[in-house]
Amino acid sequence: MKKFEDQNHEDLEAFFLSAQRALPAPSDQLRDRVLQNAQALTARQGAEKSDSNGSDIGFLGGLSGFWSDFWSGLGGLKGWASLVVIAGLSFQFGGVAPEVEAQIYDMISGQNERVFESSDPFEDLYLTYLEG
Amino acid sequence: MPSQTPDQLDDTALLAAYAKGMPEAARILTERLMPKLYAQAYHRLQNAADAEDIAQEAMLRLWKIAPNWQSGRAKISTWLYQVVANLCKDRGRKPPMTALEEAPEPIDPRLAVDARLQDERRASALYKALDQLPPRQAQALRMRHLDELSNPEIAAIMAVSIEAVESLLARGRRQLKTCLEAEISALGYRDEKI
Repeated sequence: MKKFEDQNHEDLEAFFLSAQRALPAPSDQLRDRVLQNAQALTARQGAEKSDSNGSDIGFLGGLSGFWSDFWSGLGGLKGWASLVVIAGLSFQFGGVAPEVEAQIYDMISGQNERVFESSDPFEDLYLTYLEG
Repeated sequence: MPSQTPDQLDDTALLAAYAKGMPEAARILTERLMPKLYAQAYHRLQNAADAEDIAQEAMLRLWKIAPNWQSGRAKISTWLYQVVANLCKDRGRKPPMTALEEAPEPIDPRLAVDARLQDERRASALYKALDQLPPRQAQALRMRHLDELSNPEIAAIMAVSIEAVESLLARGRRQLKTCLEAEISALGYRDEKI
């Protein structure tokens, strides 16, 4: 209890002291409940962390600061997996299959009309129809 | 230089240790902070069951915020004080959970029955008188003389200067004494010097 600066109020101090003395003790169970909450929350947060990061944990353990934020900012493992798939498909259509690109170019410029004529999949069907 | 034992760490360091999964830190924080939170709630609500609920809820909020606690922020004790104050306001609008008869026994069971009754009557008169004061005066008096906070701590919580706190306390004491004048005679202080 803090002493009253103004000693004219020491009678008030008696009332405050009485209020302190009349304070019932908290039950023993309160401390246990508080600690159980703490343990439960630690366990839950640990589980959530491992769920959300998946295999990121081991990898992120080697990263720090900026790179860790960068990795997380791009969506972690899922985000990076999506980026890799998109990049792979782009490479497939743009780099590995240049003949497709060339055919599209020729088709647009009209320089390879015969290729498209001879590659008509319905050609035989059409002739059979004409021959009756 | 000797290393610190967990008991010597400050609240912020202990909270960081808890967030990293150290259960011992939670135990020390509980023993250090929880009795004050309980007492703070009890002095507002005068109901032990409600006070326990509020202390438990405030500690739960502390555990939840632990991973995101920023050390440059407010002091943990100040933050908890405000959490309890808000919870008490909310609880004050609801009916109490249990009757006063169900409250646990006082801290010191050796107190003579008369003395205990005297304390309870004085405490009851004090709580009633505090309720009659302007809210900020009552708040300052509770923090200073029941929660045992220093004037700078009160100033930080109430967001006012230390001089303003001193003024609130001085006016509050005068008014409280007026409210309690009849009780001071009736409840035996005149015959008892502390």
